[in-house]
Amino acid sequence: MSRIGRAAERVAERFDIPAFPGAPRLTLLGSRRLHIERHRGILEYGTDFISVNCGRSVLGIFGASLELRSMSAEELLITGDISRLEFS
Amino acid sequence: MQRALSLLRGVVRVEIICRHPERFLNLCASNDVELWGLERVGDAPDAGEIRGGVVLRVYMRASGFLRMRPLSGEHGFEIRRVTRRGAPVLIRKLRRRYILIAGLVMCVFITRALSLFVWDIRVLGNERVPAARILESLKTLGFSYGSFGPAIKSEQLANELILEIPELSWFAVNISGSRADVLVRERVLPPEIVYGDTPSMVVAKKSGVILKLSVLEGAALVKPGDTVEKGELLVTGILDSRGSGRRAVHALAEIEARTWYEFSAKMPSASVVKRYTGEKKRRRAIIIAGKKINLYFSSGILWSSYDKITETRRLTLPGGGLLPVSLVTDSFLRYEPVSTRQSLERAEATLKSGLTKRLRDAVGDGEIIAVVWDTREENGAVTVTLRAECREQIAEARGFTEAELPKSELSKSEFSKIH
Repeated sequence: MSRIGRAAERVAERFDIPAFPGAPRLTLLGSRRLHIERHRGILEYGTDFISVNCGRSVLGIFGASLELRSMSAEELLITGDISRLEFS
Repeated sequence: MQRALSLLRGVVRVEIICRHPERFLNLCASNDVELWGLERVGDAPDAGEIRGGVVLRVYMRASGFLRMRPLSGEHGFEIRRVTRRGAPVLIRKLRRRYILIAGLVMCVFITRALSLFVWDIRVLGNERVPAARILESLKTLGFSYGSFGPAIKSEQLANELILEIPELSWFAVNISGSRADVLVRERVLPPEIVYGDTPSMVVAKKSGVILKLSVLEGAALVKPGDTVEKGELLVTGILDSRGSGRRAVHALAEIEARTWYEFSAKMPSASVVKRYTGEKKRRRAIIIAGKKINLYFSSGILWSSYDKITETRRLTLPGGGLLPVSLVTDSFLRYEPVSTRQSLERAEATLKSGLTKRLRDAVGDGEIIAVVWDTREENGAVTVTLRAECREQIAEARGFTEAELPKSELSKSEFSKIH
């Protein structure tokens, strides 16, 4: 991350602003529906594990009967029995 | 909304065989191809070109499919269309059905053309003047069901209608589509003016014996206990005094009297009743814009006795919109007249009920003191006679006759002005 990006992140943290520039926005509805905005693509796709490139980190979605309901260049909608989310 | 737009632009369900689904999905995203309804069908068959891959099915727009198909060889996946839906598919299907297209065009044209005519007229705002009278007058002025909407001149129609129906003070026609709303305002007529100073007399409107007399204006000519005939002068409006001489006043009095009534009613002991045979005939007709079209050929009914029941049903659209079409059903029920002898009690009850109503109408606000009934049966008929004693107001005002007027007070011309 550039110096400007790090500075912006610090300012956002200091002022408790919920948005980070370029960071993905995740909306989890219970454990059945996960909506991801500003993703960078899918790295792995399976019924029990989906890995999503979120830019600075990779999001791993663990669960069962995972399904990609819709996908566009900006957004992803994953449904299924989501058991765990992990950033790496 | 997004899905509806997609359907309008055409949607395809495609089947993809690939080794790495994520690569295909990312390729779609990078090419701005939207996907939804992704389904993993299973593993790819070993006999295919791509071994060890998976089979996916997904929805995408037809344009997206056309964008992805050329990339299949380069990126190592197979793509084929399974189904397609949406407006482009429908248009392609209908492209060669010329008659259907011509029918659709005709339908649109006819609907548009018919919407220029008036098929439904509602009369609003009338209370005393019946809607049928307004519609009938409008018909004579050339405005009725089936009139061409743009040709209607509302102002001219209003002027003519107000001349035709003087009870109306204002009129307007609002045409929206094929419905015309006829708005009217009724003229408020001035109340009848009663001149309290018009010279008049009080006479008896019924014969009877006077019970109570209270004269408010004028001079009484009778006293309680007197028997008076119908039309007899009770209170005179001519006063004669030493100071002002003979003068005419508006005589006013409340005069209560005992009155007697005698009414009779007769009824044959045997009466004819209808016995329906169960035979029934129906005649149907359609009324389109006021024109009746019979849906039968022979209108003759050969039965001598039958009841005719007419039922008119206006056809409506599912949303409640009225169509200019009514279905008329005439039902003919055959019956045979059968003579039956009715009981004396029943005939007596029927006659008594009629006579009681007649008595009440005659007495009005008065009081019925006593009623005596007399029932006789002779020559095949039942006769009931009512004799009643009542107590009621019998005063009635009437104008002066020329002879009654004091000549010194009023000239002939003044008399004619009063009357």
